[in-house]
Amino acid sequence: MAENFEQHSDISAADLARLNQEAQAEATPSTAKIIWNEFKADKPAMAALIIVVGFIVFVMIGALFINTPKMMETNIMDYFDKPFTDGFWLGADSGGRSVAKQLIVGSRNSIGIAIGLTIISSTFGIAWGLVSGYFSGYIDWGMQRVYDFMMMLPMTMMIIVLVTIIPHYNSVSLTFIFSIFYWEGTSRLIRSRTLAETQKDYVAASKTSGTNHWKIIFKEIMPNISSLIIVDCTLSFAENIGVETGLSYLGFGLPNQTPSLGTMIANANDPSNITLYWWTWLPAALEIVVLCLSISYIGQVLRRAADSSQRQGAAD
Amino acid sequence: MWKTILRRLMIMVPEVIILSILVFLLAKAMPGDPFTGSINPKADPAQIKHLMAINGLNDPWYQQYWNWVVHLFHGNLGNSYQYQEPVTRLIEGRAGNTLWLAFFSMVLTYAFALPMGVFAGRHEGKLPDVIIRFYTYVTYCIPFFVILVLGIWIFGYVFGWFPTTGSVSSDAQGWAQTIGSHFYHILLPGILGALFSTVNIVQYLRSEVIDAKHSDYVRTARSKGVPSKDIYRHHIFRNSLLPIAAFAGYSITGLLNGSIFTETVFSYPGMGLLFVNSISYRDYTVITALVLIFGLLNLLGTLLSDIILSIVDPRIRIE
Amino acid sequence: MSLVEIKDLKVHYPIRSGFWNRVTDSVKAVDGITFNIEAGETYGLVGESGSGKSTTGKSVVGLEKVTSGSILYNGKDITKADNRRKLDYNRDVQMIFQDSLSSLNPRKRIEDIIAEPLRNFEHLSKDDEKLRVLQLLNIVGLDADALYKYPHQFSGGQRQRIGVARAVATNPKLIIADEPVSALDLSVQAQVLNFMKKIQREFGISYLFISHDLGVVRHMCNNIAIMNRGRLVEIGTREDIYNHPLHIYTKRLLAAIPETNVNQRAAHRASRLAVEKIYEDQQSKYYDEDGMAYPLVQVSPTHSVALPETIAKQLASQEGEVQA
Repeated sequence: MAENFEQHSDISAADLARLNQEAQAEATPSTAKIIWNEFKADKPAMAALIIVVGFIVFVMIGALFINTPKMMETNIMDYFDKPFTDGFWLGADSGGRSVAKQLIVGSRNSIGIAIGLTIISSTFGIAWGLVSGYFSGYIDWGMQRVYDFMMMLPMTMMIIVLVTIIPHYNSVSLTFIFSIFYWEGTSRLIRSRTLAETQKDYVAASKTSGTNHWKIIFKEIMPNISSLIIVDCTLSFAENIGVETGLSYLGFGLPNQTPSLGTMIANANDPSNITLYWWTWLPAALEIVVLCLSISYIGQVLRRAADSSQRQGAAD
Repeated sequence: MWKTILRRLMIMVPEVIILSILVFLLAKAMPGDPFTGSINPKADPAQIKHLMAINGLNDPWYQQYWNWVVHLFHGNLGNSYQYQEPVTRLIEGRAGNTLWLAFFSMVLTYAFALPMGVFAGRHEGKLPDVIIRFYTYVTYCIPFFVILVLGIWIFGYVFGWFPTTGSVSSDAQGWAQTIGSHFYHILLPGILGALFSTVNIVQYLRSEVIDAKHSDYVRTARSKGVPSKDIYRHHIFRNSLLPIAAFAGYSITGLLNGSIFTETVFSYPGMGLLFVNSISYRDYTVITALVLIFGLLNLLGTLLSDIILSIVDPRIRIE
Repeated sequence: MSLVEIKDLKVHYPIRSGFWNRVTDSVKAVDGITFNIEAGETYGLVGESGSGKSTTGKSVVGLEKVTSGSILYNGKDITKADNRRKLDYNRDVQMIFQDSLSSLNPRKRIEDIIAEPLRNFEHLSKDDEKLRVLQLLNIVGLDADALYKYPHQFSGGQRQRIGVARAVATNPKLIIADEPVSALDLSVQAQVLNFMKKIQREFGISYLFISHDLGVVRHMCNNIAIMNRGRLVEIGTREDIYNHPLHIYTKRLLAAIPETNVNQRAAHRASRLAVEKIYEDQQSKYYDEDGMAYPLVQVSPTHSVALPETIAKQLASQEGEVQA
C-alpha cells in the first residue's frame, strides 16, 4: 500500500529530514505558551504568582528547620509573650510557644493539605465529569444520581463524623476524607463542557479513525477544556485552603499537636485571647486572607489569558 | 409542572433511604456503645451484655436499622445522654434559633444582592461596577469562618457594637425586650452571612442586566422613550426575578451548612453548635439526628430551587 | 457483489413522554432504505436538510446506532460493533465532514490529526509515519510546513483538504463525504471537488457523496438516490435522474438548481413555478395518506421510483414518448 502513496506523491524518504526541518521552523507555539505569554504581560498577576509561590517554597523549606515536637513543648516562662520580646517575632501563645514558628509549620501543613486535596479532588472530579458527559444515556444518568446524592449530604458534618470514626488519622487520611466531598463542583463544570465538546465533529472523526473511547476522552476532549481545568484547579486551590483550616478551627481537623492555620485561629475562641492576645490568632487569619486573595486573583487572570488564547485561535 | 415535581420527589425517595442507611451505619461505626455514660461505668460487663441483648443490639444490622426506622416514624430519635432528655425535644429547642438566623440571613442576602446586581450591570465597566465586582471577588474566595472571626473581633469586641455570645440576653424582660434582644443577637452573624452569600445572585443579575441592555426589546423600549428607570424595573428586573428566586433554595442550604461555623464563632445556641458539642461528648443519638435533619433540609432546599427553575425554564423539566 | 449493500436500513430515535418516561413514539430519521454502492464509483445521496441523508452516511461509517436492517460490507453485517472491530472496518471506510473547522481537533497539530488513523490501524515507525503524512499533504496540495501548525491557521478550503488527507491516510475503499463542500466558497468548491476526483482515480476509492445540491452531485456522481423524509423516492443513474425524473420531489429539486444563464431567467422561473404548482396539486398522488413516500418500483433496469406501480408505469411510458 505504501507504494500507492509513493506513486502519487513527489515526496520520497530522501526528503523527510529536510521537509521536517522546514516544518519545524514554521511551527506554531502551543496554547500553554500563549497563555503563559498573556500571563507574563500582567504585572500584578506576576507579582501575586511570585508571592504565592515564594511563600509556599519558604514555608516548605522553613518548616524543615523547625523541630515541631520541641516547638510544641509548653514553656511557662514565655506565657503570652508580646511580639518582638524575648526573641519571639510574633510573640508566644498560652503555652509559651512561638507564634512565628507555629505559623510556618502550620502554613506548611495547611497548604500541603490544600494542594493534596486539590490534586485528588480535581483529578477525580475531572475524570467523573468527562466520563459522565461523554457517555450520555444510562451511564450519565447513574453518575448524575450519585452526584445528586453527594450534593445532599451535609458535607461539614459528614467530614466531622468520619474524622471521629477513624481512630488514627493523619494529614494524608484527612486529605482523602476531604476529597470524598469536594469533587462535585469540578465534575459539574467539566460535565457541562464535555457535553458540548462531545457533539463536535472532531470527536466523530476520532471515532471513525478507530480511536477508542478512553483515548478520545483524555487525549482529544480533555486538551480542549484544558484552560477551563487550569482555571478551575486554581480557584479550587484557593477554596480548599478554607476546608482544612475551617475544620481544624472547629477542632476536627489535624490532631492537637500538629499546628495548622486553623488551630491557630481557634485561639480566637477565647474571649480574652481575641482582644488581649490578638497576636496568637490574627497573623494566621490575615495569612489566609492574603493567600486566598492572591491565588484566586491568579485564577482570574489565568481565565482571562485562556479566553484570549481562544480568541486568538478563532481570529485566524 | 406537577409531573416534574412528582418525579423529582420520587427520585428523592431512594436518596433519603440511602442517606438514612448511611447515617445509621456511621452511627454504628462510632466508637463506644449507646450506654456509655448513661449507666454506671463500673457496671458488670454481664449486665451490659444483657442490656445490649434486650435492646436488640446483637441483631443483624438490617434488623436494627428497621427498628431504628420504625422508631423514627414514631418521632422517637432516642435520648441524649449529655442533656438527659429526648433528642426531639432538644432539637426542637435549637432548630428555631438556626432557622430564624438562616431565614434572616437570606432576606438580607436578597436585600443586598438585588440592588448591587442591577447597579453593577447598569454601570458596567464603570467605578461602581469595579467596586462591586471586587467585593464579590473578595467574598467569594476568603473562607467564611475567617470572616466571622475577623467580624466578631472588630464589631463585637473592639467596637463593642454587637453581642458576642448567646441568642438572647438574660436580663431581657417582657416579650418586647426578648424579641428585641433576639434580633440584636442575630444582627451581626446575619449581616456577615448575607454579605458573604450574595456572590451568585449579584453575578447572575449583573450579566442578565448587561445582556438585556443589548437586547432588542430593551432597545425598542428605549427608542420609544420609556424612562430608563422603568426599563430596568419593568423589563429587565421582572424577567430575571424568578431565576433569582430559584437561588433561594441553594442559598438556604449554603447558610445552613455554614451555621456550624456561625454558631461556633458566636456561641449561638442552634443546631450547628449542638452538633459540635455533641461530637465532643460523643452524643451519638443527637449526631445522627442532626445529620439526618441537615440532609433532609439540603434536599428540600435543592427541591425548592429545582421546582422554581422548572417553572421558569421548561427545558429543565427533567428528562 | 457490491462493495456496500444497504438493506432496509432504519434509524429511529425514541420519543419518551408520560410520567414513566416510556417510549411512546419515534422520530423516523431513516425509514427503510435499500441501495448498493459499487467499488470505484461515486454514489450520490441527495435530499433537503432533515431528510435523513446524513444519518444514513453516519450509519454506514458506524457512528450511528442502527435500529434495524443491515449494512453488508464484503458480506459482513457491520451494523454490529463487534464485526466492525474484527474487520478493522474504519481502516477501509472513512468519512469527510461538512464543517472542516469542527471536524479537526483545534488543540492538535496537523501532523497528529492526519496520523491519527495511521496510529490506530497501521502502526508505522516514526519516520515512516511522518513520511506518509508528508506524502498525504503533498497529495492534497499542501506544503510540508503545515505539519506543525494548528487547524485554525488554515482557510476553509485548506482545512477540507486536511480532512481529505486524514480520510485517505489508510488508503480506504470507501469514503463517506457528508456535504464536503457546502460550507465553502463556490470557487474553492470546484478545487476541492476536482482533487477528490483525482484521488478517486489514483487510489480507486468509492465515495458516498451526500449533498443537497444537485448541481454539485451531477459533477461527481454516477448513481444517485433521492431521499425525502427518511425514505428513498427515486434512484437511478445520472442520466435517469437528470433527464427522466419521475417523482415530483426530484423534479422540484432539479427546478431549484440556479440558472446561470441570465437570458433564460424568466423561462426558468416560469418552469419552476409550473413544477411547484404540479407539486401542490398532485401531492396526494405521490405520497400516501401519512405523507410518506411509497415503496420503490422499478421502471427500468437502472431506474426506480417510489410510486404505486400503475402510476409509475404510466409516467415512465409518458416520459418515453416525450423522449421518442
